[in-house]
Amino acid sequence: MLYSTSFALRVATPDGILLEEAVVGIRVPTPAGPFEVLARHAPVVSSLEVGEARVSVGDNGAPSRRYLSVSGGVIEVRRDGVSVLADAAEWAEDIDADRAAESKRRAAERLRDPASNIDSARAEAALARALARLQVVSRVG
Amino acid sequence: MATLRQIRRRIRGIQNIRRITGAMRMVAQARLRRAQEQTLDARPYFEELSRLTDELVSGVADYSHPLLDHHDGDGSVLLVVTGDRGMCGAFNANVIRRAVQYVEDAPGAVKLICLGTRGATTMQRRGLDVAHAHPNFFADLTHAHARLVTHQIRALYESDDVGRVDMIYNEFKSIIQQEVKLDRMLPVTVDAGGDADARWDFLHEPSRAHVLDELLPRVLETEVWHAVLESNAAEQAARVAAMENATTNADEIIDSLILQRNRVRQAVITQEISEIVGGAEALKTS
Repeated sequence: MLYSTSFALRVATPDGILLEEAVVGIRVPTPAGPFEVLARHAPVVSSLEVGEARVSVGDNGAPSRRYLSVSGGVIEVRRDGVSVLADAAEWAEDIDADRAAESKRRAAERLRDPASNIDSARAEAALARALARLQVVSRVG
Repeated sequence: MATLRQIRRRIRGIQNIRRITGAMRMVAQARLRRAQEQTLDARPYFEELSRLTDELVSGVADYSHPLLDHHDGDGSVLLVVTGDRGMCGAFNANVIRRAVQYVEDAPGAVKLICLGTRGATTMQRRGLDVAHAHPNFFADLTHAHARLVTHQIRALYESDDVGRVDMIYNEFKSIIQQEVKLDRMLPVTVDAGGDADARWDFLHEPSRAHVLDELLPRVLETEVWHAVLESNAAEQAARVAAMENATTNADEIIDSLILQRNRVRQAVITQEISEIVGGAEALKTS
């Protein structure tokens, strides 16, 4: 039996479609940890965490990997394809490392400073996003 | 009758106005194109999100979420989406009139959230209860701002005696038509009539309820974002039309002023000649 090793993947955000093509795999961050989807995966719906997603394109034996940062959302695996609906997503190549480092520093500072009565949940979310983007950008260093 | 010099000055003045309205029309046209692209870009996300939410809600028997709860209170929250600037015909006035009407007809107190400088300042001046104002909202139009507005809406809804959240905005019908729309935002209504069985063979990580918890706030967020994008496209279209009218009007005024100028100039020449002729006649007879 010969099965197709690729499937249709669409990564959509409110700012537009980031990716729409046939891929061999995608790994996304979920509350239960990294979650890898290959072709013919059972249908599943899962929420996403802030973190790094990895898309594998090309030959299944030696695929080329592309990395992107996602900040929350949901993944839907259907029989006819996979949809990632992310609040925001960015390719590693498009991330500004200096800006990510700067926002990490700012968020960390806000969390450390007990005097400022800021929304700590929002600062933590900002920190998580900055860390995810830094991790993703290190992949293309 | 105006002197020649006065007419010439008016022509120059109106030519300057015409140049400005022409430039504003072109700027609005470029912004309109950008706004339409943004609306198109966002559509796949909207569509998949609402489809998924409807399917999941119809699959869960007794699911509850703060955003689905019906509250008893008479109070309401109204999101008013206007533009940051004028010069776009009745665009802002239409929304504001409808919003004032809403406040008058409401059974209880209405708290307003105003997006766009125009609505924010007008509503505050009229002494209405503006809970949150977002002037210059459209200067930097990113999805993160829609999220902030959504947080504010949720916070107000979760407080007591707010029974509903509505929004009023301009919908982009076509290049030449905008329509003021009133939409119910909260409590969220989901179309649970879908094919409930379609989702039962799906696994849900970590659980179906958890996924829904994540999805519902995003539904609200995309509703805000959708209204903002529609309003932005409608505003630019209204401005293109208004500036086009202004430019055509300026052309007409210039034409009629040139006619008037020529007539006055001719009258001056005629008068000068008749004065000379009259003078010569007077010399001859004396």
